[in-house]
Amino acid sequence: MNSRMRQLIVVLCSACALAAHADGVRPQRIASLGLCTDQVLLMLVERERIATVNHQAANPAVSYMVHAVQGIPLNQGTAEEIIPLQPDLVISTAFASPDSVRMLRALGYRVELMPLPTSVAGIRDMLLQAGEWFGETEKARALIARMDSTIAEAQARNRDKPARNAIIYSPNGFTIGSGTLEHDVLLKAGYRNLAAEMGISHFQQISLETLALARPERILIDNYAYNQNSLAYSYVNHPVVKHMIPAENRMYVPTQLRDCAGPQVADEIAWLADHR
Amino acid sequence: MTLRQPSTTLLNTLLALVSLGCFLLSLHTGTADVDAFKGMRDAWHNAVTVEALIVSEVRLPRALLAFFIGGTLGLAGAALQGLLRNPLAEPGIIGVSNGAALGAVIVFYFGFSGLGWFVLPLGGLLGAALSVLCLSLLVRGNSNVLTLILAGIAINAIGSALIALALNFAPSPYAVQEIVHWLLGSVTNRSLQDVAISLPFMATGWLLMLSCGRYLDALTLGEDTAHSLGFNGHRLRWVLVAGVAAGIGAAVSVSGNIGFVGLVVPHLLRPLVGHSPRRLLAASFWGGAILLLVADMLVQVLSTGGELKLGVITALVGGPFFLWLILRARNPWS
Repeated sequence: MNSRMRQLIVVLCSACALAAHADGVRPQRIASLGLCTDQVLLMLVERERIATVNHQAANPAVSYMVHAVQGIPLNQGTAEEIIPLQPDLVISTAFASPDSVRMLRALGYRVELMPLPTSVAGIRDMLLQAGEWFGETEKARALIARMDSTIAEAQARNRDKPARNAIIYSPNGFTIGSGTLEHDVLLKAGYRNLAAEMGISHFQQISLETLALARPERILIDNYAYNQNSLAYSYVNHPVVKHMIPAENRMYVPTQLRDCAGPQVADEIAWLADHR
Repeated sequence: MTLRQPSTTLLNTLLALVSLGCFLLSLHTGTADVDAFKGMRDAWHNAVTVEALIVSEVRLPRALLAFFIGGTLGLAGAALQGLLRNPLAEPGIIGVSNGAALGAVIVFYFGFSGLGWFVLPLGGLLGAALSVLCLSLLVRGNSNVLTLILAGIAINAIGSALIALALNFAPSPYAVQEIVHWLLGSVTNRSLQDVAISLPFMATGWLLMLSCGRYLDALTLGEDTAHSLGFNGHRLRWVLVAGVAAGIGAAVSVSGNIGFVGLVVPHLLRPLVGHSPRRLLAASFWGGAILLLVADMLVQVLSTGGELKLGVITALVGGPFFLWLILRARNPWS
């Protein structure tokens, strides 16, 4: 072997080492433990680099990204399922599988917790942060731009409609007030949030009587499991709601658009604005 | 005895008036601060105002159900105590209510209630009937207090376990949390439709149970004496069981299992009716209605945000009172 050859090998090897180093920055086997992180991961990263997502991501009733899940191993959020996959990055939120997060961290895995945004601006920050973790900053910027233009277009197209008094009334009588993403979404879609005006912040259960007194023009009902019998829906299906608000003003918001913070919230705002 | 027993007509009239008063009062009770009189006037004139909606669609069905279900529970308690000649017999304790709740849970969560209005109370009825039948088979020819209660406890436990099992398999993701409703009971968010589907069954139950009053009186002298007095014990036993099943089945299918009413009310009223099981029936109906109406008003007054379940109040009010009754009965100096 002459010296030139030797030189070439050295150069090649250092190139490999450099590439390996770059790949260390850009994780190659990412595991997600919950639906909300699943969806962001599926939007930002090609499937070859996704080790596993939560089984909820494949559930069409709740997931916005069902079409992208095929072929990716599904997990139930337990550490036992994650460890054999040897991920180089695990993502979750503060609420999804906290026990698994603790265990994976103790075992030396890199676990990042995505923030829980309480506004559309917070979603932008969340996407930028995720883009940085995944090494997909450009894609994250593009997603944010698309999200912003969807919202701006929806607002422009519905500019002439009057603002409506709306209230969110979920199964079991829960309403959502100020300090939440849902509140920001309602305002951006051109509604007034009656719950916030009643002084409610975050989540609170209100009775049918309180609901009737608020006199909403629109009622927003989560359509999750709407077609399955449960007492939880005895709130939103009660005759008093039907007498008070005509059918066309009872809006059943698709769960996929509103169960997680993410770019899909722009579609929720557009949906709400178009139905205003 | 020198003390004259007060007339039961007077007692029943009094109890009925008090229960009517509680009923009217409960139309004024709720989370919203509205003028209930205006609501009644508007509803009467078919004006669709917020007050009318709240009074006629939210409070009226709730008050009616508390009235009817409370009455059913009191009456069924008195009937079972007479039939089984056991002061501890109560639909909740001997497992009839949980049987009814199981039947209703299966009908409600697995989509059978779409088959017709009568299917939900019918499911409750079948569940209640099944548990009464099991109980009668288990204690057949054995009037031992302990056997009945132990068999009842077993049936009760099996019933609540099966309710949990059924809710676990129910398609709705909310079902599992709703076990609280079925085991502790509530009349929150019920509609007039719930009154309409359950009332025919409950009313049938009342008539069947009330029709057996004389037999229950005769039964205090023993089955043989009752037979020699001309009562067809075999048939009347079935009539009573059918009455309890229809009443409890329909009541529980709407409200879930509300304990203690059927135990406390007959005990409270028994001395006032001269210890006659027949006279106890009607009085217990009114007494049960009063207790449940008061409990339901307390639930609404005490709650902030999420509501307490009715069974919590009936047990908290009924439990200590029952203990006091027991202690007083054991104390020879009182």
